[in-house]
Amino acid sequence: MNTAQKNSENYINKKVGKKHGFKVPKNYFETVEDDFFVKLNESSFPKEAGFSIPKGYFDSLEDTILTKLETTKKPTKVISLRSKVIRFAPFAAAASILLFIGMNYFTFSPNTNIDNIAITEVEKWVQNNINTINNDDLSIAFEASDFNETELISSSINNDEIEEYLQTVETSSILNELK
Amino acid sequence: MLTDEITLLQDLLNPKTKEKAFRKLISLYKERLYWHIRKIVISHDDADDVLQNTFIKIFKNIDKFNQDSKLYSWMYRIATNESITFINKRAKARNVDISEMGTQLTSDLDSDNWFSGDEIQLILQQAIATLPQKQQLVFNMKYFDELKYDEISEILETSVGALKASYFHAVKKIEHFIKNNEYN
Repeated sequence: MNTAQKNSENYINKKVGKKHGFKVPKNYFETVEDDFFVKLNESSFPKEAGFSIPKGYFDSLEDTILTKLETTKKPTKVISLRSKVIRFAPFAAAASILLFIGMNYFTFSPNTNIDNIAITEVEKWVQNNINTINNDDLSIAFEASDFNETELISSSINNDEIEEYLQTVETSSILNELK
Repeated sequence: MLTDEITLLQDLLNPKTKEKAFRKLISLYKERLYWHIRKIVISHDDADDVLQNTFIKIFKNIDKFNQDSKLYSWMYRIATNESITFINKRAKARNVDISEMGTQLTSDLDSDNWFSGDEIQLILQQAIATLPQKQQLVFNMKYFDELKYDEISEILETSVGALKASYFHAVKKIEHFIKNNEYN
């Protein structure tokens, strides 16, 4: 038995050697301790989440879903892509010409000045660039302007509107604004 | 038991030092236990799971450790049992025989990211998978881990004579398998 065993063992050793070929992800062994303590903590947590479901809930679930699907199902009209393309081609062509003219007009028009810009555009710009404007810029811009603080307060807001606003707005957001 | 092992064990049994000592215990044995588990469960992810569970079991049962045996052998035994339980569960879930399970696990090895063995190493793993479980364990522990029969005997709680017989059958079958399956 011993010689036969030695022969087989030598054969395997010569053919394969002692390497098994398995490897582990890089740095795997470095995190084993930490992984263990995470798992140890987890193992003391309850396995049940504590939620319960009405009796027979899963038994009737298929029927409930299928019934809902039936009631919401509407016949779908199939429109071929080709007819759609043909129908919309003239509109698309017209739109691209208008877009081209429009772009040229706005890009090259020499008459662009602050009065031509819609107020909504200005508001949008301010909203998007609010982070880039600092107090110094504002004070420089408004140095020449002459206005008093009361102009900033709109007198058109009545008490009912304020009350309604306070009822709809979340308390946490008021607190944030007051910070 | 070695003096170091005795000190470590005392620290493990003391609630104040338990966590720190356990971290040390993991550091000392993680690689040896990992490779032992890995050769049984084959895939890295499964080996990682089983390794974690093994340490959890060790942590929770350290006070039940019978100090007549070596701490190392005791941990090895837990790792072996955890691995076998894992494989059995997996086989049951897939509704296959335990021997068929081994073949299934090694059949995908060549496409496994965490297997870089060459063709002959792959054949060896496939050969090991055809062996009965006890022979697989004895072969891996003797051939790769180079443990002595009396150490294996303590871990597997099997007589040295029975282990020798298992190893003999294992190497004969593996030699035969390699000769039949070698492509070159």
